[in-house]
Parts: sequence; C-alpha cells; structure tokens
Amino acid sequence: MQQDQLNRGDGELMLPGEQVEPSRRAFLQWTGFGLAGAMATGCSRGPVRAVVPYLQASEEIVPGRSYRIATTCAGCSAACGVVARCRDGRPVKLEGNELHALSRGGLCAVGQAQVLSLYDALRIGVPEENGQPIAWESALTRLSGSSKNGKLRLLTGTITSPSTRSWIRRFVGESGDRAHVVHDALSASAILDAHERTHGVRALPSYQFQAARVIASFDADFLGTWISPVAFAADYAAGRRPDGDSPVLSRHHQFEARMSLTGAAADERTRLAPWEQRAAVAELAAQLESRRDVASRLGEDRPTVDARLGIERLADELWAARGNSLVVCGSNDLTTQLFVNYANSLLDAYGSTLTLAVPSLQKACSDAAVAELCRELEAGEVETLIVSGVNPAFEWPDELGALIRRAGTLVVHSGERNETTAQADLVLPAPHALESWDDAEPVAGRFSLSQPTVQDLRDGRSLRWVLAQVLGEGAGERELLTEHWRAEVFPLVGAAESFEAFFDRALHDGWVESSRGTGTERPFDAAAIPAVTPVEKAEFALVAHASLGMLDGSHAHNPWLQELPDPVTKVTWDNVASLSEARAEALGVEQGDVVRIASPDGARAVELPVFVQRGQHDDVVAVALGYGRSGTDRFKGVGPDWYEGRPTVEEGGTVGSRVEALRPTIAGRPYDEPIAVTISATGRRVQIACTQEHHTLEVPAHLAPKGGEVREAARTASLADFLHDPEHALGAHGEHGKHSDLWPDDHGGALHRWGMSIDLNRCTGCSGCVVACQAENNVPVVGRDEVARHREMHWIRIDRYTQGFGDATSTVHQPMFCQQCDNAPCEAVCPVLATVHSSEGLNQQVYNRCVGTRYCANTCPYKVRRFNWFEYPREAENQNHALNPDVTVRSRGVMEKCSFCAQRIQEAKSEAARTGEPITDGSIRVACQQSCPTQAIVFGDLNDPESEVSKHYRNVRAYGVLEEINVKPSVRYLAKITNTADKENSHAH
Amino acid sequence: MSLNVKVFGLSTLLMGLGVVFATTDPRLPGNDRGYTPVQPIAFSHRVHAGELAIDCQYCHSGARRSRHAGVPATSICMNCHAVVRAAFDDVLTEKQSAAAEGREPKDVVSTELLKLYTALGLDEKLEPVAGATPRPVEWVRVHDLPDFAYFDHRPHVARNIACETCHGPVQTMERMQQFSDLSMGWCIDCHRSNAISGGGFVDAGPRAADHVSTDCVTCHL
Repeated sequence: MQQDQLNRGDGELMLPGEQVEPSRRAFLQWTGFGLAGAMATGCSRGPVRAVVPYLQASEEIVPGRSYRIATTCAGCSAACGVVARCRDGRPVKLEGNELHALSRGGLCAVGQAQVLSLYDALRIGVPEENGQPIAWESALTRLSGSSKNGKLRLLTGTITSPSTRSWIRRFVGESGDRAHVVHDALSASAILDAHERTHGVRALPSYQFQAARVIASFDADFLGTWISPVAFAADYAAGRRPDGDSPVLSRHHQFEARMSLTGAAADERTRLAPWEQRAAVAELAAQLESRRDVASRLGEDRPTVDARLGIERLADELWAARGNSLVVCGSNDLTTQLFVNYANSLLDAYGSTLTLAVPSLQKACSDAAVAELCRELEAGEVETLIVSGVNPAFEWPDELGALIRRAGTLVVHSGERNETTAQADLVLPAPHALESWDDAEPVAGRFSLSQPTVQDLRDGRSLRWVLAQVLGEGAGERELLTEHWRAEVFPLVGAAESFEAFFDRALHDGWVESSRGTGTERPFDAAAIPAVTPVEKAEFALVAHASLGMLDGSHAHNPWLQELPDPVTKVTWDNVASLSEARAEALGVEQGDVVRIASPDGARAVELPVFVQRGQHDDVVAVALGYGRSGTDRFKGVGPDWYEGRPTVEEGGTVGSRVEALRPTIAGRPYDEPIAVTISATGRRVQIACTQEHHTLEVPAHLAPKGGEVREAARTASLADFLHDPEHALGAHGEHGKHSDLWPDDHGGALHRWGMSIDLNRCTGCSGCVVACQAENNVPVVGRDEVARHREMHWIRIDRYTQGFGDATSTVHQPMFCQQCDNAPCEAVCPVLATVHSSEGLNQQVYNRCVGTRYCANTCPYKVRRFNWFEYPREAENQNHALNPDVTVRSRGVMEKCSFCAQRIQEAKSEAARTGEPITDGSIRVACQQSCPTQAIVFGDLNDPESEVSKHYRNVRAYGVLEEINVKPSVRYLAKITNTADKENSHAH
Repeated sequence: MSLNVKVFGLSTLLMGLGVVFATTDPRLPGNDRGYTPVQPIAFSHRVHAGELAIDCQYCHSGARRSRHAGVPATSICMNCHAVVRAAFDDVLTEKQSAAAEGREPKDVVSTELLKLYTALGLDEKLEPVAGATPRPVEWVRVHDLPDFAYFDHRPHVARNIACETCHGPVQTMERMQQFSDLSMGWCIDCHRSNAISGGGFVDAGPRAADHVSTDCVTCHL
C-alpha cells in the first residue's frame, strides 16, 4: 500500500485529504461493538501461535536443546578459543574453550560481548561503490581493475590467520609494486623491533607469568589490555596461590603513571611518569649488570633516577629470583624495550619466564612500515590502498588519517561502518567471526579454527576469499581454509590419521598443537644495547591508554561494553580525564568538571570531564582511547523514553571524546613518547555515570551501631602476617554460629545445597563475569541517564575498595551479587511471596508474582537487587536473537537479581534424569564462574563435603561479607593475601 | 444532579467494569482445556497413534532429548508418505472402480498429503516443481505455556510418565485437543503427591515431605 492512501477496510481506498465525520450515533454504535468485541476476544485464551517445524530434520539441532560449536574469538588479536552455545541455529552465548591451551576456558568482557555484535543491525550487508550498493561480481571487477596498475598497499591489523597470511603473501608477491603493512592502534612494535636487534628475530616473545616469582611491570597492563590478557591472567593467578598443597605467591611490582587494572593487582605499585620510564629501566639493567658482574654497557654517566622508585631494591629482588623473574614493559619506545630485553637477559629470563623459541604472533605491527606508508601516501605514490580490519581515519592522528584519501583508490574491507569506510571508494563487507570460516595461530604452532555458528546474516566475505578471487582462485570460503590446512597445517602436526579425521578433530576441539616454533632460544646480542639517552621531560603529559571495553575503539558500537563500568574508574558510557587528587585541587576542578586538554600549540584539543583517580601520577592526565567513534549517536535512543529521561548521546554526537587526535604523528617518532599537553578548566560541568558510589555497603556514620562504622567487606592481609598467624591476620573473629536466631533453622534437607566461593586473591576485577552474566541472564542495557540514576541492571557489580594514597594506594576488587542468604531479609519483607527460599538454599525471585514494592531492595544489606523501572527496549529486533531462551525476559515493574544461574542447575538436573547419571561436582558451572580467566569463582554443592566449594568454605581465608548481621550468606569470599613487606594487619575498607 | 449526568456516570462505570472484566481474564495463556484449533493439514492422531500405533516419540523425538517434544520435521512425515500417498481405502476404491470400468487405476493422492508435498516443493508424483520454494507447514500450537514458565519434557519422559497422563487419549483424537488445563495448580498437584523412587514415581500422598520439587525455580527461571 502506498503511504498516501489508507485502506478503509472495505476494499475502497480513502484518498488523501478526504475526511470522514463520524456521527454521534455511529460513534456509539462502534463503541458498543468494540466493547462486545473486547468481551468476545477476552474469552479466548491468549494469542494463537504457530509452531513451525524444520523441513529437513537435522541430526544435531533438536529444537530447545543447546549445542556447542568450537570457534575462535575475534574480539582482539589474542585469538582466544571460544565455544559458542547455540540454540535452533544461532549462537546465544560465548564461553571460553576449556581445551584451548592459551585461554583455558576463560573469556574476557570483550569476548563475551561478541555475540551481541553479531546481531548488530547496522553491519554492512553488501559491497558499496561510492555509497551505492553493488554486486560482489562488480566489486571484485573494480578491485581487480584498480589493483592491476601502480603501487598497491594492503593495510591491515595483526593477522593471526595463517591461511590469510598465506593468501596475502601470494597477492603481494604477484607484483613488485605491492606491500603489506601491519598497523595496530595498540602497538607493540617496539618490542618486536627490540628483539630484532637483540635476538636477530623480529618476534614477540611468549610470556610465562606462572613461572615468574618476581614480576616487574613497567606500564604493561597485562591483566587488562596488553597482548593476551586472558591467558596472562590465568598464568598470573597460577603463580599466586597462598594455600593448597604447594603454596606460591609471586611478588609483583608495577611502575605506571595512571592506575591500571594490573597496577591495582600489584603488591608494590610505584608512580612513574612516562618520561622517567626509560631511565628507570636503564637503571634497573645497570643495577643487574653490576650484580651479574659483567662489563657495563650502560656506563656510569646515566641519568639519575629518583630514589623514591626503589630501583635498587627491585634489582635485588629480581636478582635473588633470577631464572624465575620477569621484566615486562608496555612502552612503545625502542630504547626502553632494548633495556628491558637486556634486563631479562641478565636475569636469565629467556627460556624460563619468556621465550622466543615459541614466539607469540598476537602482535605483528610495524610502526616503521606505517610511517613509510604515510610518507608514500603523502607523496601521492600509492595508486590503490586496501584497508582491512583497521580504522586509520580514527586511530591515526588527524593529519595522518587524512592521508588515506591521497591514494588513487581507497578500498575498505570492514564489517561495520566507521570513519574509514565513510571515505572509501569501494567498501567490501567483512563477515562477523561467528558466521565465517577462519583460522588463527596466536602462538607459533598453536592453530585454532573458526567456523560459522549461524547462517550468514549479511553478505560478508573474508579477506582471504577476496584476495583469492582477485588472484583468479574460485574456491569457496571453506575450501580455501581446508586447502591451506591440508597443505600447511596437517603436515606440521604430523597426525597419523587421515586429513579428514584430523580436520574434524580440529573442528571439534577448536584447536590443534604442532611442533612449529619449538626451536631453541636465540643468543642475546649485547652489542645492540645503546647508551642511555634521557627522554625530554614534559611539564604535563597525556597518557592515552587502552580501556578494557573499547580497546582500540573497534567495540564502540557494542552497548554491553559501553555500559560495562570501567574496572578502575567505574565510569560507563564515557571516557574521562583522570587526574590525581593533587592535580585536580591545583586546577580547582572536581569530578565532573569539564577540562580542555590541548596540544602545546593549542591546535588540537579535546574536552573531557574530570575523574579524580587515586594513585595516579600528579603530572599526567590519563584518557582512554577508542571513544568518540563516529556513529555512536546510534545510542541516543538506548534506554527508556520518559519525560525526565536524557539521551545517552545527543543527535550527531559521540559517546566519549576522541583522544587519538592528541597523539603525536607516527612518522619517525614512537607512539608512546610523552605527549606534552596543557590542561585548563572550562567552567562547564557534566554528570558522569560512575557506579562507584552506587549500591554501597557502607552505613552512614551517624546511623551506624557502635563499632559498626566501618564494615570489613573486603579483607586483605600481608603474606608475612598471614604466615605468622592467619586467623589474627584476617580478623576472623569466630562469629559463625555465635548469634542466636529469631528464625527457625528450617532450611535444607534437600539433596543439594548450592553455595559459591570467590577467591579475592585470584580476582583481578577484569569484569568478564559482568558481561557473561549479562549475556546469560538477558540483562538489559539502560543507557547513561539511567546509570547516573543508580538504575544499572547488572546482576554482578565489582566493588572496588581503595586504601591509601599515592604510591601506597592499594585496591581490592570484590564481585558482589545476590548472596542467597539463608536468613534472607528480602524474603521476610515481601508482601506477595515473590521472593522465597528454595529447598536447595536458593533465594528465588518469581517475576510473575512480583508487584514491585521494592521493599526487598531496600532491606537487602548487599544492595544487589535490581528493579525494572521500565520496559527496556532493544535497539533492533535482531538483537532479540542474542537473548537466552532459557531465561525469562523481565518486564517493567518487577525486581530481579542473581539467581545462581538457576536455569543451568535445572538443565543439569534434567540431563541427569535423562542420562541416569548423578550430578557431579563441577558439572554445573554458572556463567560468571565459566567466564573467569583466573577461576576465582567456584560453585557447587555444600552438602558434598568433598566438593571444591566445601573445601573453600573450610579454607582459613574464607569469610562471609557482613556475616556479623547473621543473614547467613551462601557465598564465601577468600581474603586477599598481598605479597607485601612486613607490615601491620591491613584491612581495606 | 440531573438525570442525564447520572445515567452518563452509571453507564460509564458499567462500561469501565465491562472493559475490566472482559480484558482481565483470570486464566493465563495456555490454560485452555479443550482447545481444538483447525490445523493447516487435517492430520489425524487417531489414525497414526491409534490405528497404526506408531510410538509417540517416533515423531515427537524431542521429548526425551529436549525441553520441547517438538513437531516433527516434514522430512519425518516423508519417511512414510514418500510411499503412502493416500488412504488405503481410497486406493482400494479406485482399484475396484477401475476394475469395474475396465481401465487402469488412476494415481490416488490425498488432498491433505498434497499440502505436505507442496510444502516441500514437490508435485503429486513427488517430482520437484520448477521454481517452487519449499516452505515449512505452519501448524497451530495447541499446548502453550506463558513465557515465564519453563516446562521440561526430559525428566518426565525419563521417569516413564506416559504421554497420555498429561496429553490425554491422543490415540482417539481426530484433531488434536488440549486435554489438561496446564495451569500451575495442575502441575503442583502432581508434583506434591508424587515422590521419585527407583526411576519412577510413587504416590506420596497429598502434602508428603519427600515429594517432587515444588521449588519456584523448578519451572520459573
């Protein structure tokens, strides 16, 4: 029907402008009819619903039953192994692949959120030429035509796929005028370059944090965003077990200017300005030189290093643990990285805590090659520029980003619309990783496979396929991959079985291991170590860092990651200008005041709200990269539409601000050189949606009972105190069972009693569990305004407790969610029995009974109940496919909270009934537990004394949060033990 | 107050009450005993489950493996109906009349089965129809539950509860009819009075202590 015609209902068309005047009589007639109609339909029982079976029965897909497909995460270049849990032909949840040697079942927040980006309605669907949709045939003809003549450059991010690398080599090798340039916005180029000089191979070592007894990290956020955080976190946690059969506790020093997630986990954290870093690392290497008694290469006339940094003490500790110690550095300064290599070499770390024999392939970027590309572009030499998987127009500073348009033809291969596709002559849609064939080799010899988990939602094609087509190879996506594996990977693995059997096994397990790369360590060439040259001191500098959710900005269109509170600042939907307390005071600004950060010449500037960050260096402002992405005004409509509601982002605006504009140009200069900036207050003020103050367990001092002013929610102790007298160190007051109960002890008696334990020593605060829970339990996104009103809906929040100031700032992360209390206060106050106890110890929330009095949320001592103030709309109908069909989608006016993943317990029980096998310990894994890279969360049956969780309950470190109020929580936390020098019992509050 | 206003007020009140009663039915979606919707194909459970005594789980194989028993894929129908294209009686009648008239018997294809073949993009000779797109049959759902209730067939089938216990005498139903009211009270009654023992159920009497779980999260997830 055309828009300007309305159907009258009797087949006659009403013309535009024609009006029908209803008579009073007709009005009453129709009202009466309507009423009768309403009564008639009211008698029927609900809507008539269709049930549509498959045409062809599938062997694997049983409607209503989940099945799993092993694949590889493409959220970043770490390429962790994942298992997609699918229902009825589509993935609904990603979980870590427990068989995968690197990620070992863990998955980070970005990985968890990839399932939502699959259903993004705004992904590019078809090839476009100058903005007009065209067919793939025409696009390939155009690409082949333009790539025939003149200089061609292929710009990509790190390609972990060996088959794609092979096709790139063939494509580039076809003509002398072609080159492949690798660029990573989160560059590790200096590490690669440094190893080229010191070890003769341009490679990234594999780090073995589990083997390191002493770790010195200079600004490397290896638990948050650096190279492969999931694998590193698992390794790191393996080296920090204060109890068990063979207790170990590594000692971790962190030197950094901003407060990073890794810094928050460190035993000793020291503030280090970016310009002090090179001298500090050089000093460390020099100190190790003297301990090793080798001829000094660094000389005596080194720049002096502030004694506050304690480099000498650090050198002593590293030296004492030589062979089991490790120095890592996140700097992109080549000289600094050379000193790091030198220090590691002096510590005999190569071959033990880091190795080049099995190098990592997770970063292959070359800043020098990018600089050369920029020069060529500027000179107008490049005829065709193909960009795939990166977004230079956003990631590069403005004057470089503008250079991409100097290429004769700009071809962009991308799954989403971004700043670079906006300028492209030809846009080729890339598929989402969950709908395509791919492979990866994150560490030499460890190959993993990606396979489609859903029928193509868009007409995207891989770079491998595009290049093969241009080279005249007509094979399909799957054939290209299997052919590469048959020719290259299969012989390497040397399996005795047939290729088909081998490939099926690889598809099932998700990955295979080969002997590739297991060479010997290469000799260290000390001649490559230069003399120490000082770095020019900046008065005030910008630290532009990766944030855990956005990384390089490629996840800015994912609402789950935008609403995820940053693990350090707890800010959602924004990047902020983090300043130390002293600097904020000196500037006369408070949290939320907008400051202007400008380059010294004032040509470039960014305005951002201030966030006051404890433990930060006074002379830097820290801002997260990846914000201010174009197109993020799509989130203007996220969250409820009501009369006091404010949009998350203004029409035409962006979420956060693009700090990339302030980075220095790449050409000839390292990325991470101190970026000198000026800062000034603007006088404006905005509200930051920061969840740190929300749902606090603290009692206002004037309301607190005597002695209860400070609540020991997150307990910590130093290792020395813990070893001396654990009970005293942890403040275990033997409170269990001391209280007499008002309530009858009538719980239990069932076969199971579910409980959980959380090891604070393992929790790094990475927030993977928060997004895992959101995906598993259909937790809605509410938008910035609602978060600012304390109405975020996450079932898990990670409480961050900070103590001390400056270098002495210590942080504890504590995941907090419904504690499933035995004496649950919420159950006592609910007037409609919408929250009641189950026979197995669960605090059940029955959505359909809830009338929304919110008494329960008020009485909850842990503040973990979330109320649906609105019906939270999803951005597009498409996103409903990401909903977990096993969990109710809650509607407006009901309370919700963590259910201990009751749906997973029920699934396990149904399967136990079906198979006749009993439920064993560990067979039920709740979503947060499954995602946790460090396995900090354990869930199980407390009625089984041999279950893992029962053992944790008996651990001397175990305590219940607020157990003094006798609500008897079913969650025990294991206190954090820091490997700090001898000092008096320190509880974080 | 004038009469007019009184009448107006009263009628408004009545209308309001009418609307409230008409739209707020105390029964929830799915609670609809006796519901017998017309299906797109006149499939007879009486013939298949009754006369032919085909096992329920031959077609509804999801019942033992999944939450949903499921409606069989069209290809499952074709396991038999690739050969059986009409009722035996109809084929016999045609044969007899052909013999009486002294001609070759015509190919008899049931009009209902033709709908099945059309769904698969086939003609009555089971040859593919050029240009036809296969489209699955859209059956009308008989047994439905509200979205917040999660029934699972697996534990019930595993403990050998006969399908007829809840679905009634399906083998006698020409057109599928809802036998139980599928209300929560109906579920709870059974859960309360049964205990699991030796893989099956035993009568535990009303309000027995060791009855099957009546925890909310058994069904409400």
